[in-house]
Amino acid sequence: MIALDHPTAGVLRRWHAAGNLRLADLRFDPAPECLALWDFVLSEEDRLRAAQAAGGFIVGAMKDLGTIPVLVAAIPRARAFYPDGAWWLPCLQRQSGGQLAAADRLGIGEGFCPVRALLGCYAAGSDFPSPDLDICAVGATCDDFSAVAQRLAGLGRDPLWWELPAFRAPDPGEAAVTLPNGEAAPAVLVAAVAAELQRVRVALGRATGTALDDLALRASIRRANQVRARVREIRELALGAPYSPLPAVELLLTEILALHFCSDLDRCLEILDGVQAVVADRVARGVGHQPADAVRVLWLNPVADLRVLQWLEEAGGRLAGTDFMTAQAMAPISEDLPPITALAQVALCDRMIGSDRRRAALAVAEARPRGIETVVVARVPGASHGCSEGPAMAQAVATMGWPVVSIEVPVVADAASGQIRGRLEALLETALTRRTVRP
Amino acid sequence: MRVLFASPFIPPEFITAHGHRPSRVLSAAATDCHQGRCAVAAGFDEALVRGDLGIVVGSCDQMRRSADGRVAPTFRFHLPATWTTANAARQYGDELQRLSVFLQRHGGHAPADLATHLLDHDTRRARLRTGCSLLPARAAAEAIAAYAVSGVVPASDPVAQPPDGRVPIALLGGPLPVAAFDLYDLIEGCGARVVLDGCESGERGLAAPCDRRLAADDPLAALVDSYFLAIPDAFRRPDSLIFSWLERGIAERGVRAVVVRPDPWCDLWRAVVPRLHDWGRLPVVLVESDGESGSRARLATRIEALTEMLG
Ligand code: SF4
Ligand code: SF4
Repeated sequence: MIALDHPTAGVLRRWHAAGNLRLADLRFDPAPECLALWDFVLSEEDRLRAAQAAGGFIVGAMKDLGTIPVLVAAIPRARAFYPDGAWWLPCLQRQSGGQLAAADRLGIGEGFCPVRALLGCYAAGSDFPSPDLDICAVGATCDDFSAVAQRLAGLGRDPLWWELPAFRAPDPGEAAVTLPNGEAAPAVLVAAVAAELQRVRVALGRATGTALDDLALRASIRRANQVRARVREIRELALGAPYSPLPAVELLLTEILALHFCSDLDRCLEILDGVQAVVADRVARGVGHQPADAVRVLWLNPVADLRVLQWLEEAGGRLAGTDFMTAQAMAPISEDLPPITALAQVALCDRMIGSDRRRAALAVAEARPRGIETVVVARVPGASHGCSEGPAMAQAVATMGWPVVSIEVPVVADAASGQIRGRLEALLETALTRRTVRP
Repeated sequence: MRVLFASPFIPPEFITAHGHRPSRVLSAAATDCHQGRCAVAAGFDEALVRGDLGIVVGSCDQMRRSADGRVAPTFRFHLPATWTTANAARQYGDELQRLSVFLQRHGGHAPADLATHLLDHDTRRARLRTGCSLLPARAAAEAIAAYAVSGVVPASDPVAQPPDGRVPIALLGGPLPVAAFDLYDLIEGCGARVVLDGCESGERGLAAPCDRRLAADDPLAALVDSYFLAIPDAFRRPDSLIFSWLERGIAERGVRAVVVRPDPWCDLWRAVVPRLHDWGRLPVVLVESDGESGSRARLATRIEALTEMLG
């Protein structure tokens, strides 16, 4: 791993100079392909502004994390991004961007999750261009986001709201379908989401003067599936291979690409191809970032401060399972079903729209074959889902005996570093002790 | 069986029509409920006992994420946040149909005389609404609380109170537990009077008068109209019903200020406060709900300052 001042990391120094001060505290995978991944993520604002200046139509998709961008990608000269990504700005800019202070002034204070930073961006016109259309999923999505998005109305925005209902298992005797993640869902639930996506499709078509027909949607789904397949393959190797061939933060960035292709689908595929080649090569050579006996951790939630994932690695842990809230964006989209139905099915794979018990069960079932030894629940400060996910996870893994720790991760965690690192170290030690006492 | 629910969006007459006994929970959990957990959501879990049926309405994270594995069979009702579309109204109607199956599966029967029950409850609610415009706020709230728990309403029409010179205000927020009803007294002691009770336990949580012809022809559609399309709430997107409801309060009851009382862990109601500031039609005072036990003096000072300003 290299620091920002390493000669190889030159490509990232301009982003540090542009205000992403936290980069100076992070460590990076030195592979040019991984640095290109970072560069691609950090350069999104430039891409969006250039696209808008060239007459492109910019959609601010909110909270569905993975579905609306596939619709938008079917429209020539339209691009979708997630203002939700402002979540990381206070960390990346080490709070120097003033987004949280602006949110405070708008009455959305620290009782809300860091996503409130997007209010500061909208208010100041900073960090991303003003979208031509905001499309926000509400219903079973979180209260924080719903409140923040509604607050945008005070800034003259008028989001198109669409309903993403709570996931539920089929009632006894109820007609059901199997979702791409293997879960059974009531057919009426899929139909309800499809009806809402159809409404969004019509609104998008009207706003952009595009037909947005099935042919275009199918082509978009095919390309989105290429992205998703690559992300899944990289992730499988990163989490499963013995020597941890991709660091945790780079894995998180890779998963994020699945959400909206970082607003450039072609380049996104190139970036993923590069990362995949690096990871595959390391696996073939039996090399990686961690020793083969690093403690295998299931990590729940994205981290408001990216540095915390690196503290885990520095303490001798490695990711072997993740739920960064991106599962729905990695699920394959059916290319056989009517496109809107297929998109409705993947939207329902969102683990955040069901119970905590469901989310924990899915995360555990996915990670278990990778020999998980312990679980970290990274609580998001202010998040309305924060008080129940730790207990649900502890319950889900109770029979496995995996130790679980629940840690609140502030947007810049330095002040709490002693405490957080101490708890992570203690957790890893506990996991190591269990290795020796087990028969 | 007794069917417990906390949300005003569940029609008690629908439950009655299935042969069950509806009872709405307005209690909050003890104040020591753990960090991050809204007292209302926790209070619902505490109220549910073996032998009951529960209906959890997922209109906020706290309710959606409240414990699985309760002691009593529980129905999870998805209440759409959107409401201005045909899809949303259809989803609410579909959830009622699904609830019907649940109620029948757990000892109830197919809905019988739904229109009659609807009209009966509509009459009871009309009496409560009259009380809201005529009675002191606490008495009106007590009448609504009694109706919520058991369906009973006062036997006679209320008598109007003479004007008392207090500043007419709206109170807005989630449910006000009965144990916290002395907030009404405190407000009156400070020279103001709640003439529009926008707590979920108050007038705001009452279904709108129903279209009696529609009730007879298509009672389910009448429920969608009176409940889903009418009750203003913080979780709805867009949130405009709250403001049109307050506008009516200004026009009909002379409301001159809004006191907002969110649960400290309720993002949805706390976020209404800056929206009210944007709206800008009335002065707004924020009262944290834990203020009732800890800092009544501070609370009184703030309301007194408001009444002085408006006096
Ligand atoms: S971190 Fe949690 S509370 Fe914040 S926007 Fe995401 S899901 Fe919502
Ligand atoms: S007070 Fe807020 S958090 Fe609590 S149940 Fe009501 S809407 Fe949910």
